[in-house]
Amino acid sequence: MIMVIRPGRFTTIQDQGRWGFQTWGMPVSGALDPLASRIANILAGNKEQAALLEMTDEGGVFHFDYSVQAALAGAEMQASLNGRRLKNWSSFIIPPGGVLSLGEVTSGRRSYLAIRGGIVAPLVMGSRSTYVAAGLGGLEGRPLLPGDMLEIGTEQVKFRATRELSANWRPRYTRDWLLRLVLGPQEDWFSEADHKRFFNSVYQVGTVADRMTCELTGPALTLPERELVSDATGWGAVEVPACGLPSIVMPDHGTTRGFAKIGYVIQADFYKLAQASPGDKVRFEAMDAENAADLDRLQRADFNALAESFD
Amino acid sequence: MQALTEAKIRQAGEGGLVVIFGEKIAPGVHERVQGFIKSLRQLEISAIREIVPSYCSVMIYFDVLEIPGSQMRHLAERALRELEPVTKGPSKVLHVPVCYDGVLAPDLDNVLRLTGLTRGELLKVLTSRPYLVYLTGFSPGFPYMGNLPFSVPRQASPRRAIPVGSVGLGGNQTGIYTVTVPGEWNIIGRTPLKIFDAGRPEPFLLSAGDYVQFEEIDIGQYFKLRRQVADNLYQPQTSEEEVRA
Repeated sequence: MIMVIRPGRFTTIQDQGRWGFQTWGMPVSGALDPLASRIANILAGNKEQAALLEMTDEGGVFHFDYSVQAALAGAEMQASLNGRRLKNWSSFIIPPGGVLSLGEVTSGRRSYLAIRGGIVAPLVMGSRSTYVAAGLGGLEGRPLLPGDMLEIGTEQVKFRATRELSANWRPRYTRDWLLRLVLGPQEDWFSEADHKRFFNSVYQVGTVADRMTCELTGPALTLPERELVSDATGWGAVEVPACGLPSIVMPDHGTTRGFAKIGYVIQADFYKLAQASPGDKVRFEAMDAENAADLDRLQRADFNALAESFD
Repeated sequence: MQALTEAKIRQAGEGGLVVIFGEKIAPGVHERVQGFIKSLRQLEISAIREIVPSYCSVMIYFDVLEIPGSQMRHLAERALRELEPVTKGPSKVLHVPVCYDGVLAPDLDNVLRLTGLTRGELLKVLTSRPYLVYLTGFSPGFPYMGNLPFSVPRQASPRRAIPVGSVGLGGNQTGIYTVTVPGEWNIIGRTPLKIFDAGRPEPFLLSAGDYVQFEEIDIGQYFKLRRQVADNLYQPQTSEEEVRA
């Protein structure tokens, strides 16, 4: 059992999302950083899709009554175990009675704590991910609170010795992000001048940057006169509402919206959306859909190689 | 060939394609959306992660690890060519009991004032024929239904938490709130039914293309049915009907 002594600023149970119900308005949810969450699970000996904890801005303090293997990946939260500093992007053994303590982020924004065996949470419509707006999934459909008790699962695990992830595997978190974007579906609703403005400007992550949306401030685009009838919208969509300021759709976002979308951030850059903080700079660069797909395939091959190298 | 030339296929990220059938909300477009989904499903493409329809378009989310984008596009074009004209077969009609009284209908009087209808006339409009579910979304399972023969403006400031089951009117559409969320529509009644229940094997009672037949109940019946729903004893009443658009 894990006792939550302090939950951290906003900590939820997530897995790799709830697919199959967007038609009915249920968003996919799931871990915001597909890279760090999967690596945390691989390090812990779990399947990539295992349920784990996603911590935001400030991590929590957790007490473990029996010994487990765990792993941390993502934002740097100065973790310590029984007072001794732990390395980020590593797996380690927590002894019986161990206290894992995480603090405020010093780099990045979301950190993942994976426990070997997975975090127990009921499967709701096929997933353990928390969707707070509808109060479902995870632990009672809400962020963790002090006093919560979490059970550790017995999901299929592989023996993986504790280790530190090699440096070349660790992404570099910055305060100046380049987001690569596939144009469409409404890219032709924006003028050439707007396209120039969009790709040549430096935007900033606004104050609203949560699991539903990442708002940006910066040069506004001119909204076309046409009205868009609500259409399906997914993670990574860069939508442009009436004010002309782009905002980026995140996994808990409503599934249909009435805003024109100039493009979609590529999946290989989703982790940047998870680790960018309010005030960070953001620039966009256009990329061809097939090149973006090739990056995804390369990344999948890399993940498989990483997991194999551990076994 | 008419179907193919009248749809545009656009990119939605490297793992998404949108097939666009029109730019206006209209029953004709709706039927082509449904027809396309049917012909796409018949191709049994394992790389498709999810198909999400909306008013005038269909979003296809697919796995780039399984299929190149160009092949997905070819398959979408094939599904368009093989689109069967949607024959108006019987549709599923869900009977939704609604209480339009008192605290369950806080904006009813306001709507009567805005439309100039009497209570009896409004209820006749709402209950005398089935309403088409154009779309489900906004919150899980929320059915967007239309079209009402009048239009009411959204409220200027949203209510913070609309009770689950509330029936709202916004513009010329009506909807049923499925989870407690803030909202701007005019609340004119409440149903004891759970349109969405994550614990059910079929979590959603309504899908796009279904119809809703509203039925007036009094407050006593409302509480009786609510008890039945809570005890998992209520069986939703559906019928298959030929509905004239």
